[in-house]
Amino acid sequence: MRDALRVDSRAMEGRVGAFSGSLTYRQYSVRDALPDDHLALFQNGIERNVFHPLDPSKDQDRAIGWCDPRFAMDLELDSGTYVYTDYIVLAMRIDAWAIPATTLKLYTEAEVQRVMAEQKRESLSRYEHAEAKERVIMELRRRILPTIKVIDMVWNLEQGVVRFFSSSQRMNVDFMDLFESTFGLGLMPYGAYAAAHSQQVGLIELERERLEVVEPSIFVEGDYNQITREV
Amino acid sequence: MDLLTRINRVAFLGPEFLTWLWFRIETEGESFEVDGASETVEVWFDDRLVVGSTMVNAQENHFRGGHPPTSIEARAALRLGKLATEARLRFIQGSREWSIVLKATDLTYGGVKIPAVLSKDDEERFYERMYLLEELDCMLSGIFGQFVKARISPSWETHLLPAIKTWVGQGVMVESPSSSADKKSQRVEATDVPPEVSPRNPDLPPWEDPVGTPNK
Repeated sequence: MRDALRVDSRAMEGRVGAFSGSLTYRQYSVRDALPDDHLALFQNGIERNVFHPLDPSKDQDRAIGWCDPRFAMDLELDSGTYVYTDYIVLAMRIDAWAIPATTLKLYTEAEVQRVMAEQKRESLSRYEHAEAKERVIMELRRRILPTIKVIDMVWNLEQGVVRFFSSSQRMNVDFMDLFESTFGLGLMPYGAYAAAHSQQVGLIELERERLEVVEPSIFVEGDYNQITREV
Repeated sequence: MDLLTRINRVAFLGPEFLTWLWFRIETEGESFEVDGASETVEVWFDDRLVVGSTMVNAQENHFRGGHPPTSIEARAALRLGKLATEARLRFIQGSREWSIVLKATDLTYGGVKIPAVLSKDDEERFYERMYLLEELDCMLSGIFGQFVKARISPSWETHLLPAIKTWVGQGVMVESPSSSADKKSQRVEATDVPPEVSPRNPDLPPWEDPVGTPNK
């Protein structure tokens, strides 16, 4: 079944990701050490957080979870799917209902008109109006497909570096929550602090102490306050 | 101090790093010896640069096209106390070339271009792409490490920072109405060329030539 589904994996090409497409990503350091028997623990966490499609009959706006990075419809994840030697490669899938505002407004008005005609009334209360809107939303959800976003995540287990292939702030917040909930390990966003503390930079203890108290420098001569006033 | 506070406290190092990189390339050249890199790394500023202030809520200057670091406007912005906050950088190692848009405030990359990937198989292509990204990280981290070590060393205040200030000051003087009488002090760049001869590089258009002044 999975192999059959993968035949269509070319349809995923063109998106941002680990296997193909443009490369825009945010990087994280894993703050905690890998636990013993981590792959077994990770499998449990991934199963708990695998993607579950939206159910139109439920009051749920978004669904978020892991899927196969090579084919997002494949939700059967085992270590053979996501372990690539020293890497764990998964995709975060987010499905959301996105009913266009104009569509919702028009269908709600039509439903309100229908109820008023059926009950031979000239107006509906605010509560009845809201009920009509809810009915329309539930009905439209049965007729439309949710929008799907799939974003790859690559975790180099040896280096403790995670790359998430989106620069969207909201996506990154969702990703950090999903990662920590799945693997039970904390992430530190890459930035000047993480870069300075990386193994490659290799600061010694004295240098780390100096870094903790370093203050911004002014790169121009003269009265900086006067210059900033001119700016 | 918790981790988030420590991260935010040193965020200013990102723009300082990018500005130092600009200075370093202009004064010592674009070649860097980086631990872990197999060859000398060359770094170039490309056609995109943003200069802004990390200290006050000032306007950002966005430069696109040509070679912004050598533009009069970009150097003038530095003289107003602004720092480079974003730039498109090219990293060259041998015959291979990477390109990124580096956002200095959080050191994130966008629009990353890596050398051509040769593998056709999905899995091999993945490993090759990751290897190339890790090489990029190695180059950038190595150069950032050189900056951080210089930045926290005692010689920063005594040698490097004064040199950067001098470099910034050597750029275009900003003309203000109050100082218009003192035209002689508003030199563009120290040069031995007689004043009646334009020192402008004829191969560059005037807006890309930081040295040039039109003949009057």
